[in-house]
Amino acid sequence: MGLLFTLAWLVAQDKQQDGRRLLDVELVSSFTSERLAWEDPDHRSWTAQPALKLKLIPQQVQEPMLMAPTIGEMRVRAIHNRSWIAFYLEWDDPTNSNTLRSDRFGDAAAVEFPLSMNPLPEYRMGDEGRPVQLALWRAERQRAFEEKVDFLAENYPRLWCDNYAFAPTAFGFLGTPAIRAEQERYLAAQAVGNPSRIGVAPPVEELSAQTWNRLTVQKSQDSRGRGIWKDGRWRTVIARPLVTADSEDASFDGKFSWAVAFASWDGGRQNAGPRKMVVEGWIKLKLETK
Amino acid sequence: MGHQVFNWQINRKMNYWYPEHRPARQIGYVFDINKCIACQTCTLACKTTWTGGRGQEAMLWNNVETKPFGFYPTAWDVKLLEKLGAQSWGEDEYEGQTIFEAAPKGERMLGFRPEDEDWSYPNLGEDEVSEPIPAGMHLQGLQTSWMFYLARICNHCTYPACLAGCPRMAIYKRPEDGIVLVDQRNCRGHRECVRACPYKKVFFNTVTGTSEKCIGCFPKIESGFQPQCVTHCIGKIRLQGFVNPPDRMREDNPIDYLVHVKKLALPLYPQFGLEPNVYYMPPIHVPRRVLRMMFGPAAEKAVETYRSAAEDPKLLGAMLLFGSTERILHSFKVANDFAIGFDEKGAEISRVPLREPIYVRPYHDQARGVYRHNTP
Repeated sequence: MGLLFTLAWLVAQDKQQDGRRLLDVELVSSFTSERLAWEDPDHRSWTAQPALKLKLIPQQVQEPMLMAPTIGEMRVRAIHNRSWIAFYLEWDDPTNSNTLRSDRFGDAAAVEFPLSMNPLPEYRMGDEGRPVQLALWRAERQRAFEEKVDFLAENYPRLWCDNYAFAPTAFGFLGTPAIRAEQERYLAAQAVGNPSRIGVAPPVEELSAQTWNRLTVQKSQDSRGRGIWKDGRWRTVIARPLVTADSEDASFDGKFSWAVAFASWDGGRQNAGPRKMVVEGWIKLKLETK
Repeated sequence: MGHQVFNWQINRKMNYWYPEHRPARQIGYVFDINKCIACQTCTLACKTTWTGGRGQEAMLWNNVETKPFGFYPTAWDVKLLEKLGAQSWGEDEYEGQTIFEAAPKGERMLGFRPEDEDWSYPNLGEDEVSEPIPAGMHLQGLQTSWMFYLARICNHCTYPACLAGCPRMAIYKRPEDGIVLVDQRNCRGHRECVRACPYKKVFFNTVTGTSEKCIGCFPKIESGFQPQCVTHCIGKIRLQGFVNPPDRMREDNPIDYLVHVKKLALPLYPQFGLEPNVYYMPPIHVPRRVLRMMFGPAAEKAVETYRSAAEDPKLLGAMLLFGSTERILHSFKVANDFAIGFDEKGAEISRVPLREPIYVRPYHDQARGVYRHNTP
């Protein structure tokens, strides 16, 4: 009985460690001397190299989990130019979910790096004292940020409100600074400076995590990116400088091999937060020197 | 993952996402359902104070719905009750599963997220009674059909499901007064709290992309005043104060007295397991099986207590202090046919006669040469 218990415990421990190992899969980042066109997923440079196909699995280590798979595979390419590295991510999604309503979520994808390779943190949101850096791209944020889409007007085109308290537009005037200050109080997230609020958060947001509960938006936002949905497929570029002055970023200074992980959310199927598809572990990342 | 915590409303330990940690004092409310007329003054008081901005159009931190067919959002309680399935109360404790114990695999609790349209009909079922009224029916003594108004706010639960459900720990319970707040700076809009709260009192703001909820009017609480929904109630059905667990209850605390001593004010759906802190005096004309489902097995006795309240000066006094002052009542007593309320320092802040004097004025005022109407 005791032996069985010990074996079960060892198996459980081994399973726990799975998330802290490098998979035997390598993503090679090709070198280019040109500028990386992160703002243009249609640019020819992205598809010059073959893609690495990565299987995605539902996140099932921390509640709330995703119990049924949504996105089965992600095709990944990487290019760097000694200053920046970009990841070109492709995945199939029959619906373009890029709006926001109380029951609608946007599609999203993320790239993740450990800050230290030895020991590696758990690839699903890091460990306490062993942080990870995340660059999260979200479809609805891209629309709100780039196109200044008003989701309220988009989802409720016939909405009418007689009077918004302290809203300058309610009476057709711009309002005094005092009125504007009052108005901001009714947008509490804005008033307290939530960096993730709609219209303000950039399409790609840099985060730091040291386990599931300890996720913070980085003060220094260095990553960039853009996605395009067409014919049932997302093509999204997420790029970041190889070296930054930010201690929350993984630094590639003088390093040509590292680890990387990916995640993806199908907003149309209510994927959000921990309800996501992830790769099976850390992927080896190799930077070509020429 | 989970911790064993004690929930006195179901009189047993239960599973919860975090360890038991009670605040220094816990905000609590008592609502006398029998006096509510669904005038929605509370709803408007809250709305105009806190949720008048863009993105908050359909957001009612306070609402009053007509039971049995009123819901905001649609079917909020019956949907969860159906998911939870038939459960039972034992002699001394709840024998069924709470929403935490009934959590499906991969979830922290049993819950659901309403669809957008579900928030669009806050007056659904308003004033509808429990059964069709047949043609020709007229008053013949007691009626078989029933309805009642259920005023609802955030319950500032001892074991909040919204707090347990947030994967980013962006919801917290204030240690000083137990008010449950969404940290607007760190909320990332995943809406797990909306899914988790069985009372559906956490809302999503499309403009900010964050979840928002009742804040217990904490600026007023910090200044010693009761919340807007309480002080604006024209029917004086509400009292806000602080509620203690049974082992620390104080008989001179009006909330403790009504909840623990008289057991007249009962939590809403205690079987969900959140230890909610809004307590209801149940409606006395509603079938007992409905009251038992909504307020637990103590409902029947509470109705009896309510019916005889007029014969109990202390109980009557506690009930008459509702709406008597904007200040928070920390203690009370009944003396010389008056109910007297005190603040935290023991200073008198309210005095209400147990019996209002009756003045009958002559129909004809001879001094002014006019006729009067005496309106009861």
